[in-house]
Amino acid sequence: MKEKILAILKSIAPEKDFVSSRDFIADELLDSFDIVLLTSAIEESFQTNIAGEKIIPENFSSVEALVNLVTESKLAV
Amino acid sequence: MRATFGNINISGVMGVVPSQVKYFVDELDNYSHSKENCLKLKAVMGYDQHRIAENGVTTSDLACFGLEKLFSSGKVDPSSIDAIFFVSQTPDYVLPPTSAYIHGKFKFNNDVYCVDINDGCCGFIKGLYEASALLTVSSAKRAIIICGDVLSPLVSINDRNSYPLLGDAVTITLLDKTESDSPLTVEIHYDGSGYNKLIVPAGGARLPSSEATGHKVADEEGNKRSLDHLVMQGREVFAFTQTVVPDFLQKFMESLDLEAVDVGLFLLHQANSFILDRLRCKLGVSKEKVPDFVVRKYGNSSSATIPMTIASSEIVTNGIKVIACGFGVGLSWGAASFDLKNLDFCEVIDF
Repeated sequence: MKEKILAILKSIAPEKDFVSSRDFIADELLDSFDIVLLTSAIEESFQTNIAGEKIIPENFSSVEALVNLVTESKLAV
Repeated sequence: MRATFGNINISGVMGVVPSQVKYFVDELDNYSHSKENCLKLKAVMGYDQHRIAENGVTTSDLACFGLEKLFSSGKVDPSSIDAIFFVSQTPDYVLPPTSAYIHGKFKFNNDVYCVDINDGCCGFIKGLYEASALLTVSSAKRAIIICGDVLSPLVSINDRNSYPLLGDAVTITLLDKTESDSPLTVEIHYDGSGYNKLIVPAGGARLPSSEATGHKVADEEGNKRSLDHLVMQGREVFAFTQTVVPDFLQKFMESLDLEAVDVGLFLLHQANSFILDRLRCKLGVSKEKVPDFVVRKYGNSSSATIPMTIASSEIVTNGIKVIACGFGVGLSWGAASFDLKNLDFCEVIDF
């Protein structure tokens, strides 16, 4: 799942270094509309639906956070 | 604040949009963001086409054009109007009220009550509330609620967060005091601590427009705007729409003993398709019940998106149970429950 998420991140912001960053938001790798695109791409890729209240910066701050988000979203379906 | 009115009926709704259609794909060079990502947003956010008024066209111009059509076609007798509610963030003048200007334009009777309401995305709900209250407690029998904005001069064309969604439009809703067997329930809430989440910082008394306020600077996301332009705290506003609004809507429906299955149409303010889709999932209803075509076809016209959906008559069937919900600037949020039936008119026209 991690590799798939990293690939999605690179497709949205190819010039950013998501591998070295510990916090995508604090490091300004993702802006609010990148999060919108990321949500949509993750939903499509993992066949899940992310609830609106889960779309908050901390859930998009790292690959680990995104893995948790996907996992929780799949469990909630 | 909540009220239920037993004798109020929505008798007709007209939308008026500028004839000038602008396409998102033609505006990509205005933005500093990658074209590829902008195009991805097209589908997700509903960025497609929007109606933008020509320079110099005001909200009242659109409203008067629509009213003239209604009067000249005989669909509405101007002498039957007892009150004009003008709900907008873009009045013609600081003073007088634009409702008074419209009153004068059509030489309405001196008894016609005129009021301007400065409100945006929750404005239709507020207009319904206030017009219904007036009809209930006074001798007035018929009111028109004009909702909408020509907001395009106040939104930077270099602001990808706001400009692609913006649409100039007004709607004219006819409200009658009548023998109705279906109540109209309206509830509105405010959280003024969020007044700056959606704001045009300059141009009012606190910060008059000047050469300095007209200077565009780029924000951290690359959107260029000046203090004379609308600025939206996107994350906070989004969080508000996904927490406060669905919880409120759920409680509003429960208080009316309604479940989603009982409702024919959810007319949610069409902020953007992303927000609407999430709210729809939360309600657990089909896409057909939560239309988003207004924002895709005309753009987000603030207080006009809810009545504009009614005016696009193909989705309205006689007697349909509607829950309308507006949310946005203020911050404010509100909902109305009503049945739509026997509309005298229901159309969208080009200005």
